[in-house]
Amino acid sequence: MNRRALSLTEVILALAIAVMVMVPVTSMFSTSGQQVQKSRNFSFAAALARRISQHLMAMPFEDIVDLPGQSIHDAPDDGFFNPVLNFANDQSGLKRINASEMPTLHGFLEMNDFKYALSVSNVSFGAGDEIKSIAIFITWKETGRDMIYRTHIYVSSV
Amino acid sequence: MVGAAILAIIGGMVANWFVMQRRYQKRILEMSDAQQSIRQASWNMIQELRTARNLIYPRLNADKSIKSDTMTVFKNFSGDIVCYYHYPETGEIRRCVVPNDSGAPIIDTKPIATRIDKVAFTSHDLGNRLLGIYLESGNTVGLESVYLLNE
Repeated sequence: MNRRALSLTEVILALAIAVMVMVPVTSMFSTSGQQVQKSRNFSFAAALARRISQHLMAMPFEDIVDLPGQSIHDAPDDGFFNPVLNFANDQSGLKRINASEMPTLHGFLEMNDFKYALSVSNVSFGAGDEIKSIAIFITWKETGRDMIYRTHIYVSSV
Repeated sequence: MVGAAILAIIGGMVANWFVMQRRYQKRILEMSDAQQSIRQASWNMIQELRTARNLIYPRLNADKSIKSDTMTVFKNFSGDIVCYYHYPETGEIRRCVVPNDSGAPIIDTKPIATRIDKVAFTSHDLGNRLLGIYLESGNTVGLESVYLLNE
């Protein structure tokens, strides 16, 4: 019986075929992973914008002003995000979004560098009847690219 | 012989690559599931809270600082008292209703959401109309707020 071993040429040929098959499969896997992360970041940005819009409805009208891009983590108290939690019965238990008090949330925000900004336009109808048109911007970084989510809300003075 | 050795090495590398890809896909799938759980929980609660009349619990502390808890109680549009609470043993958020007219409290048979590791409902304003919702599932987080419209 003639038992031939594999020749180097055959192995190289097999390897070349394997590489040709593997490259598209690899890119398919990494693309699906990126899509999930992209979708997660976008959903999170939409939720942040919704949160800001809801807080604006409870804020005093005159306190709604332009706000330049500001980080959500390690930021000063702002009425939108910080302080974020307090399980105690007084202010001693206030938790802010920093590495020691909210590690999971802080890690996610820091990794993607989530920021928010407000652009406010006043529309006056006279006799103290005013509307503020507020553009809410959420920005973040994703695989080296700058991303943005934008939404609008209107808040009336009455 | 050399060819067979190279083939064995390549085979090992490919097998290792498959194992790594399997782990990566599992992680991605978990992230996707967590995202879905958070989205579902937020959506279900916000729909009812948005049209609710007022927040009964939690309320701001005496020193006007915000107050958080793993449950919230509010009066809904129909005047029923509704409670959302987290059940950490099963990772569920459940809903209980005390009817406006006479009757025993009713716990919904199906949970509002599952696979939720942490929940915090936070009262943010003196008027008891702004409720912050923090959700954590795995390493995925959700940060929402809802303003009650029907006081």
